[in-house]
This record gives sequence, C-alpha cells and structure tokens, in this order.
Amino acid sequence: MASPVIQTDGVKLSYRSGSVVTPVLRGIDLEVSQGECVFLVGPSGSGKTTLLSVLGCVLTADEGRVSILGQDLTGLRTQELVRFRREQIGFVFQRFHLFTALRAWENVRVAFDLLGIAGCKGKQKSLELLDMVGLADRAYHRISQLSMGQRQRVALARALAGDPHLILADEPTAALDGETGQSAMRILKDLCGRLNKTVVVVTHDNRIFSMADRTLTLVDGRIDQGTMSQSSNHAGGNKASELVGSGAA
Amino acid sequence: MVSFALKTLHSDRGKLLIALAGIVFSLILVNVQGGLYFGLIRKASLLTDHCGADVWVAHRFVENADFAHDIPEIRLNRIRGLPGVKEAEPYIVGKGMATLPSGGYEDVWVIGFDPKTMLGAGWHFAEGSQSDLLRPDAVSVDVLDAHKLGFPQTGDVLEVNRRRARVVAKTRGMLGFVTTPYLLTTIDTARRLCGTPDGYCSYFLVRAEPDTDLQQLSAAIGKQLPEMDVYTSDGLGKLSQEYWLGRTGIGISFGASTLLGLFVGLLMVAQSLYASALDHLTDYATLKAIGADGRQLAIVVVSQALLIALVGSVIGVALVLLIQLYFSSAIAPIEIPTQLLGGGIVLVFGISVVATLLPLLRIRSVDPAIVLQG
Repeated sequence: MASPVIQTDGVKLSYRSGSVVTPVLRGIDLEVSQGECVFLVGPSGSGKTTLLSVLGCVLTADEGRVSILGQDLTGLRTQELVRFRREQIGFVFQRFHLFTALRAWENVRVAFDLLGIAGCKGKQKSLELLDMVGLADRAYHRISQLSMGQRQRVALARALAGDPHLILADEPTAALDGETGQSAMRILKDLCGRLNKTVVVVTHDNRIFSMADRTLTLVDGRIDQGTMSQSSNHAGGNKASELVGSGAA
Repeated sequence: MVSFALKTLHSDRGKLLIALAGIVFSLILVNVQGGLYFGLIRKASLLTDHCGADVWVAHRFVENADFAHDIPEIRLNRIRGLPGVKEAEPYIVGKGMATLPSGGYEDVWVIGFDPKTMLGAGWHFAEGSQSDLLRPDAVSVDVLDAHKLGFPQTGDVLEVNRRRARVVAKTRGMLGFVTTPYLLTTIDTARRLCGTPDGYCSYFLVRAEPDTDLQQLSAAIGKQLPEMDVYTSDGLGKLSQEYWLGRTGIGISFGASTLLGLFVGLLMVAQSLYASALDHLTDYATLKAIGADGRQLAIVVVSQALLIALVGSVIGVALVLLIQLYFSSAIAPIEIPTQLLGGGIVLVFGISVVATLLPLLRIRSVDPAIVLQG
C-alpha cells in the first residue's frame, strides 16, 4: 500500500473568544492515500471546514500530529507552512474567490506568480490548465462574463497550478445548480484521477456523494468510526446523507 | 504579482483618482511653494545676479547687497592694476524718498552705475535704453513698480530727496525682495539724489578677465583692501539671501506649508490604499490561502503605491510646468530648479511607499481561513 498523503493522529483544535473556548476538533485520526478522493460530510458545525483548514496548513492544530506528504507540520514556522501550502496544496473554494479584476487566464497565472513562474511561461501554463478544464475558449474572458460552472472550473485550474499533490475543495458545488455542480465535480474527480492527485472534498451535496472513493462523516469534531474504512461507499454516503439532511444548513 | 496589483488598482478607479489627486496635490504644492520660495529669495540677490560684475568689494560687515555703507572711492586704484582685473568701477546703492504726484511719499533704492563702462547697468529695458540714462538727472523706473510711484511716464519729473530727476526709461523685472522700487541711473546722478559725499560710493564692482579664478582674485583683492569685505557675485548674493532668510523666517513658513502639503498627500494616498485594501480583503485572504507570503503581499501593495506615484508624478510635473508657464511673473516669480522638481518626485515616491504601511498592517492581519468559511 502506498504511504498515506495525509495522516493525522489525535488532532484537536478549539476556537477561543475571550474566555470562551469552543472545541471544534476533538481528536481526528485520519489517513488518506495517494490518488484517493475522500469526501468529508457531516452536519454544520461538525468541524469539516476546520479540519480542511488544518489539512491545508491554514489553521494549526492545538494538539495532535498532522503529516502531509510525509512532512510533519507540527512545529513548522508560519513561513514554512505558507511555502508548503503554496507548493503542495491546491484549494477550490465554495465561492470560488476568483479575482474579478483579472481575466480567467490571469486568475490562474496568479498561482504561478506565487510559485515564481512568471511571464510567458506562466501564461502558457495557465492557458494549458484552462484547456484541461475545457475553458480554452473562455481564457480571455473576464470573470463576470463566465457562468458559475465556468468560474468553478477556473478555480479548479488555479488549484492545479504548480502541480500540487493535494487538492482541498470546500463545498465545491454549493454555489452551483444540481447539474452544473455534478458536472464540475465530475471534472474535478476525473482530472485529479488522471493526474493522480489526492482530493479531499468537504460537501453537503448528497447528489455527488457517489463520486467519492471514501466518505468520512464528522460528528461533533470526531470522525464517525462507522464511516472510517468504507470505500466506494454507498453505505457511508447514505449515512452521511441522513446526517446532512438532518442538520445541514 | 505586479500585474495583479496594477489590474486590481485599475479596477478601483475612484480610489485611484483620489490617490492620484493626493500625489498631484503634493507635487504641485512642493514645487509651486518651493518655486515661489526660490523666486522670492532669488530677489534678495537681484543686484548681484544682474549687474554683470564678478567680484564685489564692500564696506566691512556688509550683510545685504541692498544695505550698503559708503566706502572711499580712492581705494579703487589699488585693485585696478591687479592681474585678472578687467575693469573695476564704483557703484552706488543708496536710499531715497520719492515724492509722489499725489503728495504722498515712497521709499526708493537709487542704483548708480559707472557711465563709461556701464558696469551694473545690464538690465532689461521696456522703454528707452541704458544710454538714455547718461543724460543729466535721468533715471529709469521699473514698469512693474510704476504704480508705487504714481505711474510716471517717460519725460515726467520725479522728486527724490527733494532733488529733481526725470524719468527717461523703464526697466522690466528690476524688483527686489522688499517692496521698495528701484531707480536706475548713473553714479553721478545717484550721488546727487542720495547725497552721497563726493569721493565715496557703495561698492567697487570688478569684472574679471576671462578664465580668471574668482576665488583667487577675491583673495588678491582682499589682500590689497584688508579693511573691506570682498565677495564673488554669488557669495554676496548668497549672503543677501541668508540675511532675509534669517531675519524673516520665510524658509520656515514656506517649509511648513510644503510639509503640510506632503502630509495631506500622504494621507490621501494612505487612505485610498487602505480603503482599497479593505475592499479587497477577501482577495488578499485568498492570496494568503493559496500561498502568498508577506513579501508577495507587500509587492502587491507597494506596486500599487509606486504606480500611483509614477502616474501622479507625470500629471503633477505637467501641471507644475503649466503653472510655472502661466503664473510665474516678475512680481511673483516661480523658480523651479531641476533639483526641486527631482526632489519633489523622490518625496512623493517616498510618501507613497510610507502610505502602504497601514494597508499592509491590515492585510497582514487578515486570516486566510475566512475564505474557507463560506
């Protein structure tokens, strides 16, 4: 078996507001293998996005160990975490968070700029990525001229810039209608599968659960053990659907 | 990142315009205030700048070219034979009181030059010429000061210190630091009008042979006339400027208003950049989330500031030159040396970079996690 891309042991994290401490992650043990597409589901407030943020080096765990691509994140300085995130992790956000002042290809090029790939080379690579997500003919359009589905594909192209090993997607279909959402998710799944990327998706959208290799359900800051070992998991998906349906916003 | 910075800034045209206005305002204020200052202070050295002499010999402890004391003319012979001296002539800068046709009075400076060499008579004439001044009692007034003397016309008679003078010519631009009008005439007429004793004058003007080292010549003259002060033309001009600077505090006044202008410009640029940063906090959080570090974010904001400074400087310099072209006059000259213009541009680039501190602090505090929270 390939060594895990993600490995966490007893990860805990709490939010603090003055003297109020709210535990969000209460001990997460997780392993995700190379090329796997894992969905994190669960009711609102269960800690899905917080876990995604920890895996993406955006938040640092209070306790426990997080290892991504064999790199133990514990003890890394902020600057090292930023560099690791830039080089190894691609993000797809719920609201895309594209830069509206820029054209589609320029949005992708920003990620290359951050990696130090500037000028014609950065532009060329950006256009290639847009071609891969089927937006070659929209590369020079402004973001406002693109449909929601097209915007999500631009966001995916940006996430893939620099060939990161890990793609983290936060509610990638939440801003899309059913058909567009499924189409966007299919592109993400297929592309990452072809490129052998490891993907972690936070979602409430039970219409796409079937696309996961594995679905993990978070409840009250812990992974529901019943979902831990299921792969291609209609059972896990169904259980997650129930949870999402009962508690999702 | 620079491309991102510039396009983001361009999309915020309102804020861009405000920031540009700040830079243009600062640049105009620095240059016009500075130009007025230099123009005004240059008037303090009007006589030394225009009279065509290379070296001035003055009474001991002279502080200002306008405030002369009598020196014995006989000493002139000691320097006429010195190597490097082409010509040396007496020159009078005297005070007078003109009686106006209305019955009022006006203080005047009476400037008397040597009629043989015309040394010290090299002014621009609007009416008549230097040679007209060779006639007995002839004086010229300046067209821009004519209103102070009741608009005398050529041929009119003026009374100076109750002595008769006739206006035969008019200069243009013979305006000093103080508001007192200048009357230009020959040394004999000046002596008569001011009551200067025979055998005395205010200065010896020396014109040097070509390629003469003026400092060495001044030192040689000083050896011959140890009881007098010897200055190069520039030296006495600087002394006169420093006199007014020290006595009036004009430098502080102009400097304070210029600093105020810079400060206002700084605030406008800082406010615009800060507002732009607030509007784009999510963009900055996104950049952080996808791996932008502090240096890369700083490049974004500093690039925006530098673009504002560059465009603002181009517009500002163009406006400054137009203002100088259309508003500079002999009464209120706007003299903008290249150093002032260059210094002003450097300053606005400086304040633009300083103006990035506040937005950078704000951006630094943005949590990238906000883009992962829906």
